[in-house]
Amino acid sequence: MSDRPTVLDRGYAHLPIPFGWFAVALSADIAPGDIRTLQYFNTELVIWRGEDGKVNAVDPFCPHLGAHLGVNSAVIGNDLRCAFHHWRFNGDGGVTDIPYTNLIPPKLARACLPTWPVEEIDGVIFIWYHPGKAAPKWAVARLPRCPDGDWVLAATHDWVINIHCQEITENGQDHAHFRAVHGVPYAPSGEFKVEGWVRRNTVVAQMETPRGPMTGTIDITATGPGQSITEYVDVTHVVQSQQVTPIDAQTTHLRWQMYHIPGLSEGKLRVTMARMRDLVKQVQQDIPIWNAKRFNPQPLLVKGDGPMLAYRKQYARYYEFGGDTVADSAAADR
Amino acid sequence: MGAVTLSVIDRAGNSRQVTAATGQLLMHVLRDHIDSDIGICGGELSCGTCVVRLNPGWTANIAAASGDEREMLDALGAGDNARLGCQLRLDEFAGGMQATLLQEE
Repeated sequence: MSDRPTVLDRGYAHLPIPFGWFAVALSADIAPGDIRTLQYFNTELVIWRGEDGKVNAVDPFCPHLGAHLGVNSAVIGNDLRCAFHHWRFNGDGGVTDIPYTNLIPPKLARACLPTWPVEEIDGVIFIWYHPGKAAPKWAVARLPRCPDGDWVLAATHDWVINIHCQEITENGQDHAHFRAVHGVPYAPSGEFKVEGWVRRNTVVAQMETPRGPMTGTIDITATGPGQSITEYVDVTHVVQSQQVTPIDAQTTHLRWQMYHIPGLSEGKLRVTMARMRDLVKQVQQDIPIWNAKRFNPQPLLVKGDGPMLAYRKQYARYYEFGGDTVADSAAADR
Repeated sequence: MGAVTLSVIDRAGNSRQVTAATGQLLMHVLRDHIDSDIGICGGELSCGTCVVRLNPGWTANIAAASGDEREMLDALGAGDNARLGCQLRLDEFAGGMQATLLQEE
């Protein structure tokens, strides 16, 4: 008889969701007048884009009589109108219209529907998540300067993966997996630096090309837990803008937007697209491992493994919620 | 618990003397004696249906309106000596109070 548990505890369900800016949609996915219900951060939120082009995010339930603001609601001008009694809300969560009353109570006009901070940067819509609703602590990062003209968006990708978001971004620090999982012939050597909420890795990697081995540089700038921008400079020049967003503590939405420099010759473009395809192939090699692995709080690390503990030490800051939030949620679990 | 006698005056101007237990909200007295639609928000300062004018000088007996109540009274255009019944808990000083329901706009 086996005493194996029927459900494996992979260690993610009880990890907290870190605070930070997280991507929730691409700009192109939500036009003026569109409303979306999103499932992230182990909850639900409703976003809409007003006629002014601004994206707003609110809690899903109408404070009046509880209708879901993502169901049969409408964008009127810049406001969201609830389907149930046609109350209208602005992006600050204030009531702007109640069609059957001559008196909108001042405190409801000010704010009565909880909102989420929103930023829209480089074609991605970001939401600030903090379990205690603390204000944003840093700014969303932007793409690096393009050496000549504007970056060309070549492709977008997204995947839903059964793992905590911390583990996905740990991958860049995991030097030894590059050879085993991706067949990179030389283990990359990297520099790891932490400055405030930003983590930078510069990896110098030898790579095989049709013209023999060459040295490429990979610059990774991770700003907060949700956003990493990686610049590859070798025979091609590619920027990979990556976001990880917790759907819950054990499920992560991974998004990539792939850019290259403008004005590429046909030959250069072919090499560049192949380079991008190779990066996608690499994440497709990672995903089956991520989908099934568990979290080892004390991993057995050996020489050559990479600065994973330094990464985790910095990452622990994203769980410092301050005040009473952590204690409250722990108490509620009991 | 004690009881007090006060006057409530409906929107048609009819006055009646009522006896109420101390500790009650004026909103509940108005609801019981005048109109069950008074105080439909339950005291959340959002419906304004319990707005009354108190007899002049009587407001000096009670704590001043909070910021939220003041704001609602201003939005109602309720004027001097006006208060929201949902914010007034009857105490022993409520005897002799005259509360006149204000006309709807």
